[in-house]
Amino acid sequence: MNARLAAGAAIVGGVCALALLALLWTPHDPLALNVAGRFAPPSPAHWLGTDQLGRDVLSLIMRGAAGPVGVSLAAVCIGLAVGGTLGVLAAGRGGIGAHAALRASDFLFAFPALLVAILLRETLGPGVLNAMVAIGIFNVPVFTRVAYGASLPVWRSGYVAAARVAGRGGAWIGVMHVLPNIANTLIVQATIQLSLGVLAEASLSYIGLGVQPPQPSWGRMLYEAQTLLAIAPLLAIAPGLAIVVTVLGFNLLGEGLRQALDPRRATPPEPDAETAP
Amino acid sequence: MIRAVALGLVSLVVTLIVASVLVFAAMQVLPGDPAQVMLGVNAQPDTLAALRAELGLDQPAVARYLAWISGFLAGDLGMSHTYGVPVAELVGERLAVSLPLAVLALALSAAVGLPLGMWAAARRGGFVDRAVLFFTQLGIAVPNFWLAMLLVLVFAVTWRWLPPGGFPGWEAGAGAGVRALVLPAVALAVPQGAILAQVMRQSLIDTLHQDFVRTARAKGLTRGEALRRHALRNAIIPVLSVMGLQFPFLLAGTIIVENVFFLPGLGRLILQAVNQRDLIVVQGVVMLLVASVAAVNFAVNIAYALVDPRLRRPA
Repeated sequence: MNARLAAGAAIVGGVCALALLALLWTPHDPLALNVAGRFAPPSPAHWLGTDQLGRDVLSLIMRGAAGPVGVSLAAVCIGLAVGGTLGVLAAGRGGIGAHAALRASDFLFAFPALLVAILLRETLGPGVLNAMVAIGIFNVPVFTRVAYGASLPVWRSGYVAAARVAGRGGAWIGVMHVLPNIANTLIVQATIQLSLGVLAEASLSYIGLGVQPPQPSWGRMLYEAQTLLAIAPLLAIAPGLAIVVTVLGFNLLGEGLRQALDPRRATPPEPDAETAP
Repeated sequence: MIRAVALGLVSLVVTLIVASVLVFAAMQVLPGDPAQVMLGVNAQPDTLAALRAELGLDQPAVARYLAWISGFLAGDLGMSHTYGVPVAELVGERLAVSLPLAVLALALSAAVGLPLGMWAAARRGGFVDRAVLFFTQLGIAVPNFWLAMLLVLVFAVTWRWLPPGGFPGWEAGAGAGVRALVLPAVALAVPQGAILAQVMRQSLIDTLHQDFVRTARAKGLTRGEALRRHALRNAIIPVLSVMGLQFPFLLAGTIIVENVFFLPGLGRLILQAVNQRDLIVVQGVVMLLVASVAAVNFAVNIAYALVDPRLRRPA
């Protein structure tokens, strides 16, 4: 257990626990308005104060965690299911079909998640589903590439040849031999995509294409706080810090997992004595 | 080499054709008729029919696609119905803000990120390296629009050094224009620069372990000389490719950050057009942005093949 893995796991675990807890309990009702008590400074009753409508900021932030975490998780599942399958199959089959599949997924690189969300807004409606699909589409080519690159050597290995000789079909080999061997790489990549997904969800919510009001979301809280920046800077600082901490947590978790699961990709030790500590 | 360029060009053209069909199709399945939106709900059926005919909406989809794409290639993106001017003209005006902003952000991120990455790699494990690693981790985790708000809070609201938003137009002088772009460019450059610094550092560290660097050291070059003359040129290749891969993020970031600063750029145009259902503007701008991403990918692949002879052979 390295330090990054521990720190990342602690942060991610904490954020997920808060998001789950917020579904059952928050200090105050995050949707309850109290105009008389608006812009209250932090106090024992409202740890992070209240916003322009008198809602408790801490409760809003707790409830708002579900959006980024849920959306980025769903988007990673879309990416893994479509891209991962495509990559493993393309590496196993080879030939024209594999080439076409890789090209088709590369093609998705030309569509940033934001533009997909804009294009799909009218069809899917602005909301959580739109954000999931848009970020999921962005994840597909990433997982296709990673799964293809990681599974290619596995498909060419001796034990896969042995399994073929033993009469096993391509699908069986893919699931039983290839997938377990590339799982570590996929898990590390998934963690990185989760952190990117949290950032993307925040951006989409900020411009009104993510979680819809009255449900709270970090991006939307920042949007609402923007015009109040001079009066109530804390309203802009608290949700932003929540995003930074969550993204940092996923990044640390990803790097920690990479060190723990994939020692080959860890950098070699410094051989030069000049900079040795 | 010629083969690589030709293959890249073919895939670029195919990408653009498929992308244009997808963008066009996405606009077609939308509920709501542009003619209806323009005339309002109380429009007479015959005026509606006349406008539909004028806009070509009574044509089959294939004919409308061909008309749109041939106009697009000729630089005619259609008329915006909310602004009442050609979309090409709108895009041109907005590009005068978005393009300098993107270039400024890219230049800033490279100017700060690349030297930081080299410095950290040269002092691997030391204080500088650890500081660079810490701050780049933080830089990557910060959403650019939040950073933008913090910059406004500090430099515009509290210290009043720079304008909090808006754009005076280039007519007001280059100085005033650049002043309006400084904070947005910094907000965009920080996450980009952090990524560039990390990639530069890792790439240089990997290269410093190669045999040719050891040979250079063995023949008597100092560490610094070996780094400058041998390692750097090889280490820059992955950095180039990451810069290409980051381009869509820069584009998306520009769209968001323009909205934080109320800059009249392409990003603000596209979001306003989405809200006003000015679909011809959305369609044109999205297509332009997708085309620019595809073109950058193509250019990066070619640059890659130019720098690294091993990549010129077909896979």
